[in-house]
Amino acid sequence: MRLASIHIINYGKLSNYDLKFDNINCICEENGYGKSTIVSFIKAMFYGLETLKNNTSKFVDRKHFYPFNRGVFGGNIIFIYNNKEYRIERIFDEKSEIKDLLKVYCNGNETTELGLIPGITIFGINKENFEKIISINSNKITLQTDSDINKKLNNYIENVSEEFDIDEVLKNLKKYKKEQSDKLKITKDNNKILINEIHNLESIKTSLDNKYLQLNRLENTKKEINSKYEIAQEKRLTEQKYQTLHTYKDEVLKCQNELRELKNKYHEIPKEQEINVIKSLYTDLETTNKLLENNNFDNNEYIFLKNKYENKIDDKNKIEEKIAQFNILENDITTLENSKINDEELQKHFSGINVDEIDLKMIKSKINEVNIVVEKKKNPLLIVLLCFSIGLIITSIILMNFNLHNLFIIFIVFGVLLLILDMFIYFNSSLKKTNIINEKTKQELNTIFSSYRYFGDDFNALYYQLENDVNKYKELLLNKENNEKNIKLKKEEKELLKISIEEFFKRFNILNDNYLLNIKLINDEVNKLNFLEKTYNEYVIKEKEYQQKIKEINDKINDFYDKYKLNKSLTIDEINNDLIQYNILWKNLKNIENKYNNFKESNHLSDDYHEKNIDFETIKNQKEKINEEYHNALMEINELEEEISSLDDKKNQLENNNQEKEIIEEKIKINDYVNKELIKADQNLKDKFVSPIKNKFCEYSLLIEKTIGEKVSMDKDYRIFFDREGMLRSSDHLSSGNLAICALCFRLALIDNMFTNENPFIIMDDPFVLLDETHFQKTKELIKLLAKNKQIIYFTCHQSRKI
Amino acid sequence: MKLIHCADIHLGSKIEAKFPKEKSIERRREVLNTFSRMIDYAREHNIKIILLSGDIFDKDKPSIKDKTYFYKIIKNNPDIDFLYLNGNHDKDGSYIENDIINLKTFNKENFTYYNYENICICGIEIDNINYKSFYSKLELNKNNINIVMLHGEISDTFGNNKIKLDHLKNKNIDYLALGHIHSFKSGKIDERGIYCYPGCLEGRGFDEIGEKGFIELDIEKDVQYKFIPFANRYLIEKNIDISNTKDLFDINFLVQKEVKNINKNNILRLNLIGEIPFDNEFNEEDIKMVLNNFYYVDIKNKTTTKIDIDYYKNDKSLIGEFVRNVYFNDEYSLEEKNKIITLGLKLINNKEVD
Repeated sequence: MRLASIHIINYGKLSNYDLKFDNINCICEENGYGKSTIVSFIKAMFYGLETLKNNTSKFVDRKHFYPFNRGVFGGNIIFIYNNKEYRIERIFDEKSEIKDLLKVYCNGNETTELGLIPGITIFGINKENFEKIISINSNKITLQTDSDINKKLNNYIENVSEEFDIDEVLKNLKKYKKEQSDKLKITKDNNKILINEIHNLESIKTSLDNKYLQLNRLENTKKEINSKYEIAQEKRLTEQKYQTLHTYKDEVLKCQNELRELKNKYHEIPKEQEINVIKSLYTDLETTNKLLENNNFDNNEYIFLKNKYENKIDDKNKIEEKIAQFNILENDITTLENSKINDEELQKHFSGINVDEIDLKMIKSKINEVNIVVEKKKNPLLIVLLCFSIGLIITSIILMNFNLHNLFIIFIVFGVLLLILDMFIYFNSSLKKTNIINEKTKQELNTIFSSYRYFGDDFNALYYQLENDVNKYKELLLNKENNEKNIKLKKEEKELLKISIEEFFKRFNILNDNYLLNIKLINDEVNKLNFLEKTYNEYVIKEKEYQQKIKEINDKINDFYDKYKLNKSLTIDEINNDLIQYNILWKNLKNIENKYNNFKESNHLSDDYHEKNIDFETIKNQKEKINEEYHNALMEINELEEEISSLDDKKNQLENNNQEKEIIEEKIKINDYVNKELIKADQNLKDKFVSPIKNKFCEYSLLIEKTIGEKVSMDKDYRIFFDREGMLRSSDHLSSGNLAICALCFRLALIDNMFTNENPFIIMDDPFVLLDETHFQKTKELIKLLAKNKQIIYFTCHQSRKI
Repeated sequence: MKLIHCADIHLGSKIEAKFPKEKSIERRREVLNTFSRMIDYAREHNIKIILLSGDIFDKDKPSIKDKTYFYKIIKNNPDIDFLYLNGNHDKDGSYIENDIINLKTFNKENFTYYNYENICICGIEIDNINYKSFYSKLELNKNNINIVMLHGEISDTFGNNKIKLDHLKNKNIDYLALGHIHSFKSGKIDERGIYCYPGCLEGRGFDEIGEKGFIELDIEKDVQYKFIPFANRYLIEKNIDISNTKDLFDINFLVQKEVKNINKNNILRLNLIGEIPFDNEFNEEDIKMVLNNFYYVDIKNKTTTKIDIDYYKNDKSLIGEFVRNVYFNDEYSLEEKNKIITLGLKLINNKEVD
């Protein structure tokens, strides 16, 4: 592999900078030229730049080399690799690598074959190892490999492809172990807590032994005291029974005393029946007095009515008959007066006319005249002619039937002609003659009928109506006359009755002409008088009756008081109350005596009881106390049992935790074994690589022996020793300059082993600042020798170190 | 006459540590409930005697709550006699109710005898004093049906909680009602007698797998017994070889097939065995997910990693070097070698490690 050129657009202090490379390149410029910038740029082209993190104060390359002119940050690098020309172009963001732009070209064509980090694909090592191996500066160089380098070596040497990172695996193992150790610690801590808790709970459980024994003891004591209590309670009950018996006895005595007192109050206690009789008598007396008191009569109205009507209404019935008659007459007159004949219709025809004078016969004769003229119109000739013509026509029809057409025509013609002739005669001769007479009579009849307001052409009908109306009118006039006579007679009779009736009413100063009302008034007052009279009689009878009854009752009551020699001041209620009291006391006495006897008998009590001294309260207190103690002990046990109920769970938890602990410990043990075996395997592989590296190092060390003046060697852990005065000494004893040369040899040996196909370029950023002139000159020769098969890019700031 | 013989009920017992807390609580409740159900069974089958051959309680000092529960059941069934022999877990010192008429107890000093018609039931509590001498104290009428209650393990040697069957031969025992072993077991004592362990009523952990219940005795002229499986649920352990599986899908498929005929009400432990490649990665919880219709499932991964040493024989890479180094290192046990190589390969191959 060979670098061809770089072009820096902007990177650190360099802008639009180009550099082309040969096999050996020595760039000797003063400090501040930008040598480190070029080295950083080459590295950045292959590996990119680390993102600038906000939370770090680290002065990373992205920040360090951000263009001073703030222009486009980046450039390109061209190199030959696998006989192809590659060009990497990168434009960097100010802060984040995500925003960086990367383009790779292979022989002018864009490609992705080098991946996102071309350095890893090309060199097979990470950025850090690139800095360690390919890019050499004056800083102290470590003389060790790491897993990445080893892997690379192994892959090359053994021709295997191993993609895992042993350091990563060991890191993960460490992390895994830490996790497990943390878990183990937590489990152990939990176990400690659990063991303590279990220990405490076990202690509580142990303490329960005594509690159970105490509870059993208390149970026995409780039973004893309960037994004592039951006996005491029984005795107490007996005592209470005697107390009850005494109470009954006291009540009997009390009742007897009260009865005695009550008896002393009376000579003899009246019987209940008699008292009830007297009580009812008192009630009767009271009732009778009230009745007497209420038996009143107001006689003012009675006297007034009596004076008014006594002996004055003997003819009242007759007057009533007269009033009835009077009213009948009045009605009759009214009826007659109202029944006037309706002659208005007839008056229209005959007003002011004496109907007797109407000559109905004359009118009748005129009507007859008119009728005769009409009858004259029926001439017999006309009838004969008519019959003959009809006979001819019928004959013609018969002839027609006999097919005698000629005769038929002759007969029919004659028949028709005769018929026409007959009609002509009728209309022309007869009618003309009678018309004159008829019209004259009709006019006369019209005049007559219209004078009576009858109109029409049918004189016969008019005549019959006239004749009928004349007869009706005559009858009407006769009736009217009779009516008027009748009314006059009734009015005279009515007047007589009125005089008689009014005289009757005057006796009672009644002047009203409404006789029916008057008579009703009189009747009402007379009825009331009768009623009052009856009431008065009853009142008088009752008054006597009540007085008699009161006297009888008082006599009986006095007899009762006398019989029992009772003080008159004692009321019957008091006596009755005493009797009731007496009866109650008597009944009570019997009841109590019964109770006393029954109670005594049922409880087997005797009269000679002597109170025994039982300290019931003390026993009761003892019982309550022991019950309370028992209850408390039980509660305490319950609480403790409740507390230790979690013991099993805790033990389970501890058991589980211990299992978990064992598993974790086993895991840690296995983890340690894995760690040990992986390191061992890695070391075994290292041992396989160290030999070729050692051989290469020896080759280079022969070259540097002259330079550093001492024999240098390497062990299997890549530790460098040098032989001084027959003793092997570690590289720590070398001077810094010699150490730098050794380190260079080691790297070259590594590179030779790692990159067997294509040697990479080697960047040397003034690594020999610590060498003196003599050593440098010898080293310069070595580098020139190396440059025969390796591209060297050497930077220095001093002419003395120029190659 | 019918009797029930049960033992090792362990009321208030600690439940399998792996169970979640709520399942633990539920199982504890189920143990109590199954005991109660057994009494119901006795009532339904007109059984008037129940033999309790020890370890009715789990702890040497059972809680008052558990004891009260036990006493209440006995008091609520006054027509059933409970013959209660203390076991190695039923020690003195806890809460005791000693005035329950139908609770018949035994002591350590001598055999206590209870007679029911021609049936004689006796028992003695074995302790570290009488464990040798109690055999000679046993006297039984050969004309009776003799039942002896003891709590201990059948052994050829003497010891506390140990029973030498030889010493009980020809003692006219018809039925030796034992307790202490948590699974049903029976055998002959001599020509006449048999012994039985009923086992516990409910399995509480994976050390008590299989059917659990009690023994029903039918005594006429001789003693007939039958084991009545009675547990609410059983604990079942099953090994499944997953050597031929490639991934979780294969494993789940195989596991489901293997447990197809197991009642879902049961408690299941599956031991995954066989050799699987290091990259056949699975999590036990993923398998549990597909078996979540079971009451409880515990998965134990007991598989080993399949290592083909020939494959690494000529491998010049660091992996080959590592595998060969471990494989041929005699300082490690086979299991350790397996684990080291598995972890190493997983880490090298950037696989997830738990």
